[in-house]
Amino acid sequence: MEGLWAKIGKGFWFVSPLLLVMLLELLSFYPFHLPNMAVIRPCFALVAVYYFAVYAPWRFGMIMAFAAGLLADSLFMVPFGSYALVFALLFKVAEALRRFLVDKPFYIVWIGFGVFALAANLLMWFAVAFVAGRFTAFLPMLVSYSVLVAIYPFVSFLCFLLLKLLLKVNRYE
Amino acid sequence: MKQAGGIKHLSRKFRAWLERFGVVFLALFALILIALEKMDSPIINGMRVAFLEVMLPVTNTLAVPVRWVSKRVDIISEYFSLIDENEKLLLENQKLKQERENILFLIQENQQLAKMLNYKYPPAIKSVTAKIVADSESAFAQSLIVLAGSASGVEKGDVVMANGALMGRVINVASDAAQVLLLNDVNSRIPVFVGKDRQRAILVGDNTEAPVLILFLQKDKIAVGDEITTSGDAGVFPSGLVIGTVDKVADDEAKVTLLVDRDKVDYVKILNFGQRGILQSTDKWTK
Repeated sequence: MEGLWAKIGKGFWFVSPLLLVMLLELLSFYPFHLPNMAVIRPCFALVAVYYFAVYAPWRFGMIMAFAAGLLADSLFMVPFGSYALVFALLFKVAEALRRFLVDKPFYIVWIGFGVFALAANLLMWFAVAFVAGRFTAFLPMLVSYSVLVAIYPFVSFLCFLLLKLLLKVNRYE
Repeated sequence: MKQAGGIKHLSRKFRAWLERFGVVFLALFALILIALEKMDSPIINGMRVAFLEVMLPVTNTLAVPVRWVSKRVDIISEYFSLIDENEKLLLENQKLKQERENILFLIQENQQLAKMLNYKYPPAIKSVTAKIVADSESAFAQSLIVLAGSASGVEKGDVVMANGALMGRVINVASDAAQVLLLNDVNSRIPVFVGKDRQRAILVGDNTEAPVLILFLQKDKIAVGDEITTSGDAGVFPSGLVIGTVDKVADDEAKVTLLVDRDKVDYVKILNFGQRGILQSTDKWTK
């Protein structure tokens, strides 16, 4: 008979990738008071969604990606459903291409993220334009995209650590 | 035993269905949500407020270590400019003392004149000071979450100011927090006066740090440095609130520098001037 604490523990590890994505969303949202933050603030969670889709899609499903996207929509005040759409599509396409990406060197996966993030940012840009009725400045989106691609190694390292931890926990369970 | 097998079979079938059509279903659902947002549906506002209520404690908890580190960094950087800062403060103190004398004299004079004219003062403005807990400055939106909600008397449409200048207005209110739409958000449009001639224009956000002025009639009467104030035309903001200055003038639009430096603002003032203007009619429509 499995104890209550063991069940809670299992539940926690089950949702831990989602928790990490949520944590990254909240981190993107914290007022850091850095100059020009208005231009460069990217959505760090996009890295985690891509990483889990490529390396452990069974740990982070499409529905979790969609739920995390809804949270991002709510926090970032972007059109409701836009990040949800982007996260779900990014997850599904990255998962479909994981056979090609999973055993490739780091820089190939990084380039892959560059392509995915560009598509995601463009989709967001169109969604915002659709709701606002006009296009916003393109350059801030491009700068934000570049920063997002540049921080990929750091955020993906966090995801790597979590996956490693999950493997260890599974071994002892 | 047979029943359990049936459930397992159904669950496998559902998984296969989800694998095949899940993304289409979720994408359709997301598109419906975007369409509802476009229609300014109250369902979307309700969902945003619900998310805000749930996530506020988490945001606050997460903010503790980040705030601690950020404060330490500030202390270290301030340490190196202590002498300069002290000199500046001494000068400023002297100036403030002089200004205080002048203000006291003016208050007395004003009271005497008001008594002579039997002037009726307008009702006091309700105000709440609130801390900024989250900031969504990005290429896609410009908004804030502040720690004051309906429990503190904050209402949808309230005016948000910092350092004496306009920052935006409250668009969603939860019990202990509110979401603020900033002037430079792409969804913000405000009727304003430009310069001493009080030429009418519309201030439109474009998700950059500098919103733009559009729909003004005489371009040659707009110059760099002209002050922008609210005109009060739509009835949402009272007339005369300072916004910023003209930074660059082009053919059919002008760039504006906002007076509030967002990087240096931790607290905002939420004011209720008791006017809802065009928001009343949009609220009625969405209800």
